[in-house]
Amino acid sequence: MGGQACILYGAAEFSRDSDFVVLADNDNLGVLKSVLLELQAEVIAVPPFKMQYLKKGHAIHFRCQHPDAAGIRIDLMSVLRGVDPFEALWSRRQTIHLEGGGERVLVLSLPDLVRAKKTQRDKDWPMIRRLIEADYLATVNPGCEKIIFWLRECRTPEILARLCQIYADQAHGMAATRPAVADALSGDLDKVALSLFQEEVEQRRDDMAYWKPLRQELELLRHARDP
Amino acid sequence: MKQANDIYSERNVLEQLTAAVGDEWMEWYRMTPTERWDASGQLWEVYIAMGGSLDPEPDTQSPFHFLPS
Repeated sequence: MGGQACILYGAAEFSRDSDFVVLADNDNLGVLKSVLLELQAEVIAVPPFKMQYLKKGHAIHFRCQHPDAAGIRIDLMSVLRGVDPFEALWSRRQTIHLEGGGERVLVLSLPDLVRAKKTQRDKDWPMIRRLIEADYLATVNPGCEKIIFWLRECRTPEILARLCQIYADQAHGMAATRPAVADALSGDLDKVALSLFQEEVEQRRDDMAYWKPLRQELELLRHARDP
Repeated sequence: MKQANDIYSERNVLEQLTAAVGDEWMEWYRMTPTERWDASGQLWEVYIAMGGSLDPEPDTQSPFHFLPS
């Protein structure tokens, strides 16, 4: 769901770890434990690898020791802020078949990945913009769902203005809920940029508020482990 | 289908986008997922060969920035 997914969808991130969103139930955690055992993966930070922490929204951090994967970091999460429960994510997953080796990679759908990237971190916001730009360029005959997705998530003023021009009906329908779309309909790109910035500020603030109790819990766990 | 249209014509939008992000990004956008995956893998090989660390970069904005390096 992290940097590797972004690369497949057209953005780019030199991510040094692999992030996975997983189903937190007994059966799946049993399977995960056997896979992590095979990778000789060890938990390297709080919280411990327990279902209760995954269900609360924490990430579990591992480092692999197997010679074929030595040093590789793995992060597992089950709950992401602003993103649907795992079952819905799984039903919308994308399977990307890599040419040549016959490998396949299962990733979050693009709309889910974009929602997951709305965090408090600077680096995630240009990523969202890149993801939509790449999708826009790669799509020749967009369907209704795709058009609504672009109007809801596009962060490039020029493309948003273009979308509002071509798909005016859908844009007018969204203008009341997304000020950037209303500004794009008026053709004022400076106002679009301001509205996009305001969206980012609000999402970053919400993400910080979401993480505040989780961070406090992590601090308590850390102090209990290293008094 | 996307159609060309006056001020924000497809051509103008692409020109503006190219001016904003540069040719390298436009080239990256136009690659297939496999091509991007392979290009990223090649970058990794160079990075590891040069002794690059597998530890994530310090990111003070991450909720996990207390992780050991």
